[in-house]
Amino acid sequence: MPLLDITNLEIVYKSRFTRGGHRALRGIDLHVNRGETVGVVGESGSGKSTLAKAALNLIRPAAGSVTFDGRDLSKLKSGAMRSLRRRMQMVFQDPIDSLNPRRTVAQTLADSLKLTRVRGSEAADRIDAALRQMGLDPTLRSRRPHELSGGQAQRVGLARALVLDPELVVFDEPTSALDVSVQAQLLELIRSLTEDGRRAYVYISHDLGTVRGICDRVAVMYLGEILEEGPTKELFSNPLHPYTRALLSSVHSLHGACIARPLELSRDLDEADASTGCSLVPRCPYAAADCSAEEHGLIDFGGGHRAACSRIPEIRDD
Amino acid sequence: MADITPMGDALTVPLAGRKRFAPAQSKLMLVGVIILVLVILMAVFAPLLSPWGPEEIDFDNILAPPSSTHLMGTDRNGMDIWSRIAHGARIDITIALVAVSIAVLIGGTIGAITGFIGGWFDEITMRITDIFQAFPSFVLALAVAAVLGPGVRNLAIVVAIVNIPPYIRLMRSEVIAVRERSFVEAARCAGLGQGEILFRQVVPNCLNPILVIAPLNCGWAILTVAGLSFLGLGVPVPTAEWGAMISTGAGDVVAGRWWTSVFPGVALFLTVLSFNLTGEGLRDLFARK
Amino acid sequence: MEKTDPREHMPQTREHTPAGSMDAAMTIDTGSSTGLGGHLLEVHNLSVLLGRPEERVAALSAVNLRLAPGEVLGVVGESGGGKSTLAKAVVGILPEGSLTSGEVLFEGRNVLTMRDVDLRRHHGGSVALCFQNPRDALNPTRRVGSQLSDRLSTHRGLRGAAAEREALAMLESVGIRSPKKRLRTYPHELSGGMCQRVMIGLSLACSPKMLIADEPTTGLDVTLTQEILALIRAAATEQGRAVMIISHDLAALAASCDRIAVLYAGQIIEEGEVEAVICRSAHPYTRALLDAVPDVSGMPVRAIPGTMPTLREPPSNCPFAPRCTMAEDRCRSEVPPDTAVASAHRAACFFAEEIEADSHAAARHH
Repeated sequence: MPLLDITNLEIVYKSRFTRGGHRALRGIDLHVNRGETVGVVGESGSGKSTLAKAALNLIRPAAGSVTFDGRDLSKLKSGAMRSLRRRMQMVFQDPIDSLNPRRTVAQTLADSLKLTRVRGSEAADRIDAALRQMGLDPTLRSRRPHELSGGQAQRVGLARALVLDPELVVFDEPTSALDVSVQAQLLELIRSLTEDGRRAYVYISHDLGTVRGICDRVAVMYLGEILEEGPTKELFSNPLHPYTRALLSSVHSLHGACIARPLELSRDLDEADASTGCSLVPRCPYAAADCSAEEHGLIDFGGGHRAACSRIPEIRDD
Repeated sequence: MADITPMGDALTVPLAGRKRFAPAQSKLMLVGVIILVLVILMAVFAPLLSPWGPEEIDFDNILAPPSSTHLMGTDRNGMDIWSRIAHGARIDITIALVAVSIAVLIGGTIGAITGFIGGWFDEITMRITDIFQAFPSFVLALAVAAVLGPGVRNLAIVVAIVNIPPYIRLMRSEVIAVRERSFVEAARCAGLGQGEILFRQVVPNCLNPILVIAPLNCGWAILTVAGLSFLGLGVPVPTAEWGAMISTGAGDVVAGRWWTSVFPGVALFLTVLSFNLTGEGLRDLFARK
Repeated sequence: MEKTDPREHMPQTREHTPAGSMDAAMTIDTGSSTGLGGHLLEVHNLSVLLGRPEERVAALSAVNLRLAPGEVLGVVGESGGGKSTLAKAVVGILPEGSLTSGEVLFEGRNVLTMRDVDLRRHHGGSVALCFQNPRDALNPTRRVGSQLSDRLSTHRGLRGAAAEREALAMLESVGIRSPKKRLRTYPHELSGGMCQRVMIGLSLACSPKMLIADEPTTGLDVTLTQEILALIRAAATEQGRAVMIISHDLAALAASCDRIAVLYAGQIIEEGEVEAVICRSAHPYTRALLDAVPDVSGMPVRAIPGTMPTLREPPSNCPFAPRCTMAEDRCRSEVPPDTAVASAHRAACFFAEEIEADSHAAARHH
């Protein structure tokens, strides 16, 4: 049984501009097994941050469910939810913003530990250990966020998530606010964490390179849907969905590797694009009459590789 | 994707952005704080500093100009003006501090809750606040004072009530801004309850504007008390209070006996000025950070 | 590092005062002039010290660069490495109180010592700068169309219908669909990508001889990045302008530039044709940077230990030495010379040739 099982998840934000609200997630199916690292890639507007929050029950779904260790999160009472929180944590995108400006590092970590019975000197020890594990000097514990660099702040964010020893950690673009060098240092740290297989991780990012380096499986999101998913190596070397192909062909490898056959989407993304049928239709070079007619889910192409496009068999050798 | 410029790892303070706390500004704030401290000391030690009782009548010296026995002269009742100013400070400062504190506590709490919860509760609260704020505050003070009647305790209540709406708004807008920040979400992930998140995580980050406005508010509170007393709706005669003193002395000024109104007027002016300078200094201090 | 008097390194320092407020994206059409036969921009031994006297930062040290019309030069470096300072020096908008030495020659004239009058024309007609945050460059309270027409009328004397036609043409040329509709929108209604397109269009509409794009794709999606870069590149290849793209995104630069210069702690530590710098790097920092960038080919990221220093004065040794795996005593006590490892490929390292040969060999194995 997967540790995290997201089924047909729909999230709608109230919006003044769109009638019926803005459908941030439109029927997402995703599962994460214990010890696995699943990557979710998407561009802006894809809904990946919403997915991160929904996975931790920080947003109420309009339809569908998020199940953790067999329990449906939206049906839990607050006390039960609270005790589950210890087992699922998140690392946020903006390192400094994710820390309370008026609390020291130690206080912030202690706040997390409130979910456990650990207090006093035992808590202090665990905090120090967590900081050290993230490569930080424990003397940082009395600093406030504005006294930390971006890299340090993000390590504190990691320490905060891990001090509880959770079973699932969701990374919401943890390095996009950091500079190249700092990013590399943090990615090395994250990679070492994901490699020991003790926890499940969901890594959400817009950066394909990072996801390729860290994740076992990848899901590609577009306008609130998952268009393709599969084992990392397979998906990157053999992308099926036109959107995935377009994404991969617009990134360049510095090591000369040829990533995907070139495919260009016909224009920029427009909010009005989300529609019935395949939402890529307005931009897809292969769009045909049937494509906008009906919704179809992910089609299985073997080996855990699925894609939501009915024209793939015809176009795959283009 | 958020519009974030990547940050390097060096802990350098951007040189261009650092503004010096201009020496002129800090001097002014210092002046304000010093005067305020002096006024407060005067209030605290009023009995020691006054050669005469605040309501003690010197029958031989009615409307006497400033002299060695009466440093600031006497009023038409023969009471020593300096002693009344010192004791008047007690009333004015106490009411101002107490009333503003109450307003901050009540207004701030309501504002925090309504800003955090939102929804129909917020709508209703804000419409009620709007109604209160639709009246010019002094007019509102007059109305409430008329209902409650005179007296020092009632004065404090009047000033407190009239000043609650601005704090509701101030705290609410800060809370609305802060509640969207990711550390609040992180607090939810840490399983903290709504109340704890609001009062221990969010509110401490929302205090700056209130700390700036409150001293300015104190100055205004004193003026309200003085104004109400001037109109006879404040402290009961013959309590020493600056506004009441100005009122009783007004007629005598015309006859050339300036000391009866001018001294309490100057005291009022200096005190309100010191509150204002302190408040503005705090604002500049926070802006510098 | 020994503290020496900065003036020893900078024989002719001059204090810099800006020419007053200007809009760097506005340009004046001074007609097409051929300028120098060869390089439009030549930067000679440029050093810039920023900040107050007590807190000086050596933002640039002994920078040499050349750029010809029709060429695209990428300048890559991390935050604090001097990229923005370089852009500002070329445009002539260094902050007040900066100390400079060396020259920035644009069409043979030194930007750093230009009179205000000439400087204003320089900002306008010769160089256009696309800022890092396109949304900030547009006035949020006015419609896009009126801002465009304003600038066109100020700098090209077009008014009314002619200005509107020109604005429409400009929006179309940068790939904005339904330009008529966009003219009537406000900046906050435009997406990040569209704002960037408008910014580029604005810069180009007034025909500058040189375009500097400062981090044009930060915050943009991957598919958009490619299009924006293509747009910028077209300004060079199709319109014959000199283009400088500043970015921390090495992969993006690799795809869109002819040449790349790598900045580290205010110095250009390597410069050459894109293929040479990427596949046959001759400097340890460039190599390390290539390995530190998450690459879509799946190669694991290898971080560079330590952090880039903020220099207080031009260095008297190799600034990368503390973090370099190959550093020797020499590196810590002498400034490495600019070594030419091939024609038009140089690196500031004592071991440049060995490193280049090594990179070349490693690349053949991919």
